[in-house]
Amino acid sequence: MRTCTSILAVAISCAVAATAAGQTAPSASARTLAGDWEYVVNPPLKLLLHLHVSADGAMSGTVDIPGSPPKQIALSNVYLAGNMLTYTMPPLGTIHEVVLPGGTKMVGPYMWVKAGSIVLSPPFEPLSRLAGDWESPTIGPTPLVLRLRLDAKGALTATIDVPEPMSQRVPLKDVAVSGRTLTYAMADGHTYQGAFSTDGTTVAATGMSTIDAMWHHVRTAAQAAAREAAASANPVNGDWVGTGNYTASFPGLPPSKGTATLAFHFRATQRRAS
Amino acid sequence: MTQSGKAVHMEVLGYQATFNGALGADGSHLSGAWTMGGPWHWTGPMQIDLIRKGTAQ
Repeated sequence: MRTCTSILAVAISCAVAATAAGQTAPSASARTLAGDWEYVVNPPLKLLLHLHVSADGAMSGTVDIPGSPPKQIALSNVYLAGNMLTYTMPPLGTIHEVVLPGGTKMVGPYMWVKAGSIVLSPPFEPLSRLAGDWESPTIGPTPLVLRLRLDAKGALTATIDVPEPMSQRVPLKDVAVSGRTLTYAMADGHTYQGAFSTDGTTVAATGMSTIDAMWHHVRTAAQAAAREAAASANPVNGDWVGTGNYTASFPGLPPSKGTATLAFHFRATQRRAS
Repeated sequence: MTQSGKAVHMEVLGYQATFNGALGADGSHLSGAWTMGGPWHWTGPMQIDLIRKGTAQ
């Protein structure tokens, strides 16, 4: 709470300073605040603020709180004065949030960010240099491989190759590099946030990440493409299915006959040099 | 899993299962024998002809 209070005080100070310098920021509009706002508590857990504005301009809202069961709290006395949004949320009482210029962030106890308004900074390196294969050690001999790629439009995409016995290629979503930060999300809702090292060759998970992984850049996009071309040239790689008949035996029981269907999924992996 | 030319050998750790097979000339068949050990075992190798269903991505 001390941190939040300090941030609020700083925000108010900044607002006062800007006004004193003659740089009056335009006031927020209640209608532009209408919609959904997020406050990430502990990724992937987040609070959701839903702000509504009626035809006569009256504001109302609710806050969704995750949990078992989840709760929805109705807000009262919701109003905007200048750039200050005020609302009463039981049992906490009256809460003030300063709407920052741009209208997509609020500074206050909950640091709300308007859903879908995340602004990315330019990547510290061209994405073409970051594309390629990144490896993370596992307990086995074969590492995980993060495959960062650029699609036809130049957007970053990624998958993770999980080695045997899983042998899966896991698709990722929301892949982005903002400044020196790599982010992506898994289908189960877990999110990765990693910081690039100074030389840009490793990425380490930050405290905001719900996935712990340290990635090392091991192949450029061109090297990865060449390696995959070589792997696809291996005639055994691929998916195979077949059925056969067997006779099984167990001590004390008569033999039993059955039919078994086997499916093999062969993929190329690269073992670490020992 | 090891591969030598068209010969493929595979062992499944923990199941005492092995596969020995060979890739067909057309590249779409993988024929061989699957064995299962352990208390509940197969009395002999199961002959199996696997058909290619997809290529590696």
